[in-house]
Amino acid sequence: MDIPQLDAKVLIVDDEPGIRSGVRRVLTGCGAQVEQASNGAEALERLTAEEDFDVAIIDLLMPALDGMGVLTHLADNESTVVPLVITAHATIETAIEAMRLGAYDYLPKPFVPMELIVRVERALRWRRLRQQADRLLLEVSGDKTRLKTIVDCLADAVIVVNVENQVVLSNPAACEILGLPEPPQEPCPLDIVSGTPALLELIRKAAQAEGPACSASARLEIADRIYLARVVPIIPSGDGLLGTATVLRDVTDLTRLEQAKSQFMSLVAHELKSPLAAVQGFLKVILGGQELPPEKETALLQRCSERMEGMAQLVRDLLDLSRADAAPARRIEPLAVEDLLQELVEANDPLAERYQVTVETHLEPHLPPLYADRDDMLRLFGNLLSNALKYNRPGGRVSLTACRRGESLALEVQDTGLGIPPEALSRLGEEFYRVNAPDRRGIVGTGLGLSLVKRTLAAYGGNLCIESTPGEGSRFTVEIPWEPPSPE
Amino acid sequence: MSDDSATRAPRPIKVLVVDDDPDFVEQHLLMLTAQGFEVATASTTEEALEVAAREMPDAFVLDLIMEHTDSGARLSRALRRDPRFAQAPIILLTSVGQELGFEFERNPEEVLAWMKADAWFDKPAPMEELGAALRRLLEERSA
Repeated sequence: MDIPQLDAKVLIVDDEPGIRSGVRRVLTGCGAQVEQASNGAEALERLTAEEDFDVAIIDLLMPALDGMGVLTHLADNESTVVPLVITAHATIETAIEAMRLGAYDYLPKPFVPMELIVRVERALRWRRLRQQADRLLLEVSGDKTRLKTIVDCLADAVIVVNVENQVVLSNPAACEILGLPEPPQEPCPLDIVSGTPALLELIRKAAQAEGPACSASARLEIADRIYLARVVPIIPSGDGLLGTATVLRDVTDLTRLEQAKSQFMSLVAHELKSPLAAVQGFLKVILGGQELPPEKETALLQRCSERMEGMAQLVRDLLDLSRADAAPARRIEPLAVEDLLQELVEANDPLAERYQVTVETHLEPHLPPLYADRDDMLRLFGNLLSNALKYNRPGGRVSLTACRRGESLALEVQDTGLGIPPEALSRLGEEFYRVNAPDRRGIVGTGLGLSLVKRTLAAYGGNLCIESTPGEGSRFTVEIPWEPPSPE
Repeated sequence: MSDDSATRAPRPIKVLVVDDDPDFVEQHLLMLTAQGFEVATASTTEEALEVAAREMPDAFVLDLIMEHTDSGARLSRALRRDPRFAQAPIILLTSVGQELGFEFERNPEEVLAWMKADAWFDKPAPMEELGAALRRLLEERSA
């Protein structure tokens, strides 16, 4: 039989020097480090001073403090050393008593070396197992703490309820959302959520579910905010229902965005379908065989053509609008304001001619360059200029003024046109809003131009100011920082 | 058709067409006139109430979406409250009722009852059907 290697520190406690030296010889032969004590008091001294003993071999019958006394002391002090007892008067009773006091095993005297080695080896194995178990336990409780910290940090509310309808876990977000004055002592009755009957109902419903897949979700309104609640029954495989886990996520902003988007889509649909229906209607009139004077027929076809043109413009504006929000597509470069205005005026020449309006520009000398995307600026100022031309009067004027105002470029677009009724001022820039009055019928517009202006300005940190006197004209003033705010 | 109705009705039926889109006003004017109706027009809710009081139309054709997405329905309810028009047929026209959440197609009776209107048509309204509906509703009222 092989002699096992014992990588251990052992204390032999015996009042007989012969036993001590015998044990020492045997165990040192196996590689162990062996220390000696000749009585209980001395043993305790050593064990307290040096905590790295693995095994203590203790003779039960000793003067001063006997083996039982040492065992009692070790147990009381939660010592990690594994005690083995040896006794010359081995009786079942003393052995049982020793084991009861915490001895791992006992060895009757006299014993052969192999008996000693095997018992020490077993004691060591047991010590390793116990250490492993302790470490696991420590890890588990560490995991628990970690999980608790994570759950507490969540912005989503988390509530775990057991089968007795008691809340066994809730995080600070849950307390805040449900308006609980302080974190509840757990477990506590589910009634703490009774202020939110819909949630209570949802939790009860999930608790009656048949399987783990039967989670219940609903949108709940709590204190003016909208939450997506999801309740999942906790059913470990094979076992019955243990409870439910509820997560509440604040989806208010998301919901509002969705609503705004769907409303916008409805408006787009309306704005696209209207011109289509108008054209269809006119074509029905013309094709319907109704007697119409030829000039009337031409006029109707002319209207069809204008509606189609308006629709094409609308599609262009919609594409621009989606671009106005898309910052990554921007190419910021220094732009000379003078060049920008010149290009703008030239591009709008045909429109100015059509509406018989003259355009004049006033430019403060030595303006710094404007850092912006060229297309953005042309579209922005182009919208204001074309509005000023379209909603003007024949023989009217538009004056463009560019000057320095603080850290911004101020660009004024003043017209001599129809003006804007005071009640309409606040609605300008609303998507698809157009002033409806007889004097502006027949002016093609999509109702998206100013909304585009506002969105573009928002992206550049600028602003728009509108002043108007009905019947005399309007002044649109744009202020835009020379350099755009750095993206966050 | 116009001869036929002319023999039955001593004076032409007067219809008020309300739409903020001048093109629809024009095409409804043209087509309803061709079918023997007399047509008055208005382009806002406010103007519609004025013209109604002045012209005393027998029936109304209203655009649903004008200043607001439910302007036509609001106007319809206002007309119904007026004893002079409480019995007058009202037809609503819309291009995107469904998209705005008005479930015309799925639940016409309920929507019409709520809007206090008698019928609705998708734009562009089929003109013969619009004319026929106006006559049918008026006949039902006088019966």
